[in-house]
Amino acid sequence: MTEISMEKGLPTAYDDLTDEAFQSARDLIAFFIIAMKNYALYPEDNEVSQQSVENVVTRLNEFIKKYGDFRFDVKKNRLLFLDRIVHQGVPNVGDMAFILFRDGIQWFEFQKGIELPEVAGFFRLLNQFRETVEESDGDLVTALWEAQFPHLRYEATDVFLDDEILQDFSLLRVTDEDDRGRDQEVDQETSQAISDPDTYTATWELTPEEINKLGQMVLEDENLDNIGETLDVIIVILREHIEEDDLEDVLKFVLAEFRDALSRVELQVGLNLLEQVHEIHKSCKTNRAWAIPMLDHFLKEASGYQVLNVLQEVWPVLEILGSHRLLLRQVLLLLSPEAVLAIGPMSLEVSSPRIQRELMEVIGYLAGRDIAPFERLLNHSDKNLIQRMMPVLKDLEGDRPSELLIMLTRNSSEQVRKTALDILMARDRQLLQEIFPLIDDDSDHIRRLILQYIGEDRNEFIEDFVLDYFEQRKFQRHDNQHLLACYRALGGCGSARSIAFLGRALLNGGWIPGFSKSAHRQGAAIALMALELDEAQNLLDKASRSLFPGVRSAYRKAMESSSKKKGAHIL
Amino acid sequence: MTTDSQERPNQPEETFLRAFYWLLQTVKIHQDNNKVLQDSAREFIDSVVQSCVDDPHITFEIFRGRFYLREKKLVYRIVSFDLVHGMLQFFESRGLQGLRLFITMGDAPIERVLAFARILNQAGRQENSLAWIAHQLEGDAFSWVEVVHNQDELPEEELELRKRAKRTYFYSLSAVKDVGQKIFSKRPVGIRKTKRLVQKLVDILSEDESLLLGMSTIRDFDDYTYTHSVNVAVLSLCLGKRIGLSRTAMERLGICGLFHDLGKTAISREILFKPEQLTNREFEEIERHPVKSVINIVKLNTDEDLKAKIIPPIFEHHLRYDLSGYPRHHREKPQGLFGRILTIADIFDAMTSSRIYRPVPFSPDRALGMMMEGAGKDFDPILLKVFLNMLGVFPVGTLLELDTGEIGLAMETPEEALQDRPMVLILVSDGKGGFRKGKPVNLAERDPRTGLFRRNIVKSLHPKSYGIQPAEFLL
Repeated sequence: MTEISMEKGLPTAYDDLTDEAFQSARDLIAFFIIAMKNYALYPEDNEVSQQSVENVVTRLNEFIKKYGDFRFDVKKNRLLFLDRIVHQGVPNVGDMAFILFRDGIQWFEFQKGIELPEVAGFFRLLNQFRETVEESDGDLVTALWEAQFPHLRYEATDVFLDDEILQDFSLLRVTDEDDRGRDQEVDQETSQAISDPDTYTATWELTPEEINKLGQMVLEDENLDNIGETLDVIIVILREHIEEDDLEDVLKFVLAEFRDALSRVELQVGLNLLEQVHEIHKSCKTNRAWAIPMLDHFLKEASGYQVLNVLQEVWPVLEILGSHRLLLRQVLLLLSPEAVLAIGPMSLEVSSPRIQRELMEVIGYLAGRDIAPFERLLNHSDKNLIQRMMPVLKDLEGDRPSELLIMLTRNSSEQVRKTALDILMARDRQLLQEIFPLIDDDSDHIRRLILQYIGEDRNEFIEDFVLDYFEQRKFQRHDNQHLLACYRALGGCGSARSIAFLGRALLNGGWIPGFSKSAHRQGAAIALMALELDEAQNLLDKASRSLFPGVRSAYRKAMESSSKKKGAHIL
Repeated sequence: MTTDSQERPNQPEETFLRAFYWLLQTVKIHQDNNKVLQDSAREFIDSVVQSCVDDPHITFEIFRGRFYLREKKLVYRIVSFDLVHGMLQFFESRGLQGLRLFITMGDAPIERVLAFARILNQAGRQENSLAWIAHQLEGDAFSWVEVVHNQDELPEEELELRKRAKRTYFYSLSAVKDVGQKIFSKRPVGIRKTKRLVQKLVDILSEDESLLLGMSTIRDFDDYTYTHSVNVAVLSLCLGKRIGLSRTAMERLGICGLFHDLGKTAISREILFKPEQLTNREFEEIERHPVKSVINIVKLNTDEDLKAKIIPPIFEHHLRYDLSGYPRHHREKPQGLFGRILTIADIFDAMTSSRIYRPVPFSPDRALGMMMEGAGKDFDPILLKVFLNMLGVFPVGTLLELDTGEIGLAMETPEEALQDRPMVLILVSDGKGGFRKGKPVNLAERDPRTGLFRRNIVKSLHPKSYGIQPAEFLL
């Protein structure tokens, strides 16, 4: 059965057909085949694809100029030009003849005037429908019909209908047999027929205003925001009509529409949708509890990367449109806290500092609602991401953010540890004891930093830690500079309680093995100076008069170091 | 936009016919050397030459009371009715079924063309006009004209179009059933087939609106939902074309029509075919079907964008213009354009179909009368006007009792708005309780002696009362 899907084509006349024309047709088809293969291998905007389609257009136009419109017939695994084979392939989805044949195309004609966009469109569709799916939403023929290329004609058969039994009038009953012959008394008693002169008047002619209005209606419909309209309907259904069995399917559809709305920057639509879903969620608590897990799941899905990744295409628009940024913020704030897992990594791709800042605020808000997803984000392997996310923890309430920061001080990245340390100290200095082990961190920078924090304020708890660190010989580093810094920190945080230890370290030194003895003495002297206590000063005086040159030397160096430090402060 | 007839007052076919008619008239009263006559001959020659676009000739012939030029039916317009009717009578009175005119007429001496016109005129006075014309036109002098003998068989293209329309209708019926059944049995459903069929319907519509409107008269009492779905699609498409929708918009509209009642697949036959009044619960189930249709659309295997576009109209097809109707909702937004179209098409087809709770349907003209009363409340008043203009006072498929005692089936309505004198196909009793096709007649035809119409409509009848499927006769 053959049907002409577009205007029926007249056979192209090749009056001057020669072997040369056949050869040209064969060469041309070879270019078609190459272009089709390139479309399958590379994206359409790839140079290779573009070049191959340009080649086809050039050859096609040369052919048309010389021989007229280019028409070829389609068979299962070959293409014919006036009954002669110009392409022989194998019947599979890689073969152009087979793809065309499978969807029922019988012949194709490329006509004079054909341009690059049409040919590119043809290859795009050919590639798109290379493989058919059972119960799909279209095929090459339906797509060509929709595309309506002006210089491309074809004829297609209804391949998919061939095996169907065609019904006929004989199988249809106009009415119930019992009623046949019953007269038409029913409608006589009702209203007038249109044919009644009273009814049928010239007023049924359209006025110019009505014609205008009609045109306007059509125009408005063409420009209609379908997503908004559709979601309105879906919301009505979710609010008033949904049944348990259908909810999952409907929500799956809504999810796709939500994603679509975001990708089209129709953020108001997305916002309305989420607001409505939250309201429905609330109302379901009383009378449709079965819906709640599904609505929760929907919100979780809507907050996932698979949906939110469309925003990556949207950032440039948002940079320009402030009102849209505000809308997006509102949308994101309505998502599940899981959204941070998607938004976080995406924020790294955003170049605009303004959008970055706004995204961080959103992440902070969502993490404040539930920190667990954010915690998962902080377990990410990407150090840059963790680095970007950590500031969020600064203002979050509760103990967990601090716990996370403490955990991050153990991160393998020096930068992460440093930032975690800084944020943690900005949150709560009391937590210094929790991160005391950083005193032996591999990084000089971190060690210096923590010792700086330790030495900043008098703190008996920390003092105990530092004392313990020395007394129990926990220090793992035998680095004199480090030791000196630790003593200096002890001087900053310590109290009279440290004097006994420092005295021992300065004056006795017996407990200290080998080479670092002098460093301990010097450190102890430095710490004692920093304590600024009379008792400490007494010990220093004693050291200055010690019989042991090592002790005096330690005192002297500490004094010099202290002077330098003071001098540095003055300068 | 809507008024096609206003937009194309001078179709090439009509221009040709007018030039031909004018030549035949002027040649009766002027000598060959008269300027008016010569001008009319040139005009006729030009119209022939200009009509020979793809072929070296044009064929002008009569089938079933209608003129066809190049196998294309001449559009039935009241403004040109007298012209067409006059020419029909001229041809029929000479037994002439058609003429084939060749482009070489452009090279013929003008006197030969005038002689050709005189031959046609004089043939009316001959005993066997047709044979006489054929004899007169023999020879090289008239090599640019041929008499056509067509045995009143429709042109091949027209026959093919009708076959195509019928096939497409029944395949659409089967496609909707298939989708409905797959949804009911929770199997995956795509819409490839549906899309192709809707595209075909749109293509057929672009060729012959009357043909498609004729198809929309098909009824099936047992599987009402499916024929109704196809009919709503067809009526909606016709209305969509009238208001100037784009091709892709038409595709969507057609799919909406086919799928608008998919929600009924879940309703039991006991309820659908219950002759008694429905209980509240049963009625609620019926009222839920637009919602169920939407949910079934959601489950289709098609791209989300298309779903999004077809969901609102399907949800709205039982809403009224004033937002009453069902399903219940709390929206304040007006019904969308497609929803308003579907409402009109849906109600019209439902009213004119026989149902278990209303065995005798409304005749199309009475259904339209009732719908008019709801303009502005139930229906978009402008769209309803377009719909009425499209269908005419007596829509295609209306069975009419004529004052001659004959029964006629409205087969075509003039293009102009609401004309009450359609072309009808006379139905002749087959002696077995059924009918066969008679001749097509134009109810606008007058008796030249009295100036009165030859036939008048007494009343419209129900095809169902006679067990008639109008489409079967119209194809």
